[in-house]
Amino acid sequence: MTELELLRTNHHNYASLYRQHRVVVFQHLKQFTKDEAYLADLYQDAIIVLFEKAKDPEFTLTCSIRTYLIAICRNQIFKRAGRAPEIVSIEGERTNYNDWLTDQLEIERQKSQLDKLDKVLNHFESIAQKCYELLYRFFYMKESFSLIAAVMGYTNADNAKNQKARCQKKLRELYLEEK
Amino acid sequence: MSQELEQNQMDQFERLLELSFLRERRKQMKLRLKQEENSIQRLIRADLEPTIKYQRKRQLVVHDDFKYSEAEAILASKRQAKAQKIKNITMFTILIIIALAVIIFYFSK
Repeated sequence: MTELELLRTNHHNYASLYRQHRVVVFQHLKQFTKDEAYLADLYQDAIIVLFEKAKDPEFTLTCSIRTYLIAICRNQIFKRAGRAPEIVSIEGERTNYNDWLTDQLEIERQKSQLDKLDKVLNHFESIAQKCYELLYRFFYMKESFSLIAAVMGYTNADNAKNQKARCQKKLRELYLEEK
Repeated sequence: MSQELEQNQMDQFERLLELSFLRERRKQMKLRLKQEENSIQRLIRADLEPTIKYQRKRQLVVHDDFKYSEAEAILASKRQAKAQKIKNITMFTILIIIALAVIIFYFSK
């Protein structure tokens, strides 16, 4: 079993992975900066990238996880220093982490709208619990419609999908009403 | 045309919703990883400071913290409960059959 497959089977415990590679990655990155807090911030982001990517079945690595983490951190260092383009590619990775970066940039760009939506979502959670749970399971937990249907008591996946559309519409109306 | 525009707006909202949950997820992960880093720093400091004699070395186990139980776990527990119920019914039926057989055997004599 490869490291990545192991990670996929035990995708909950990212703390052990954090500890496992921390010393070597930090040693490697100390050539750029000695600031441990800065390195920890970079390394934490790299772990998040890896965990998000590991959930994608299309994601494969031809290098070790440690090399991948170092590559992400190095790219982040160059990016933050303004010495690399916003979108970069990493050797040894078939689906590179560009989509992670794209999402991050979009999150930064849409900050005010997202803050507003968070506020609406908090209210939505209290007035439409079941709808909120459905959206949470789909977007946050990344569960499939068939699983959601089985757990939440919908007759089938299509029914759950229709319900999700209805809930989303309801949420959008609240969002548009919010000033 | 208006239908197309509405669909477009709905898609934009879906993307916004996706980003909102993604941002929250990344925020939660980052928070837990920061806690992990702090616990590592505490251990390093404890090793460097010999005056602290009995420092308990804690290992913080970080797990994903969802608001709801995972669907697969719920379904697995439901399956397990169902299997246990079937097992109980089977055992009960066998016991009744045995008891009836004993009674019939006793009265047939």
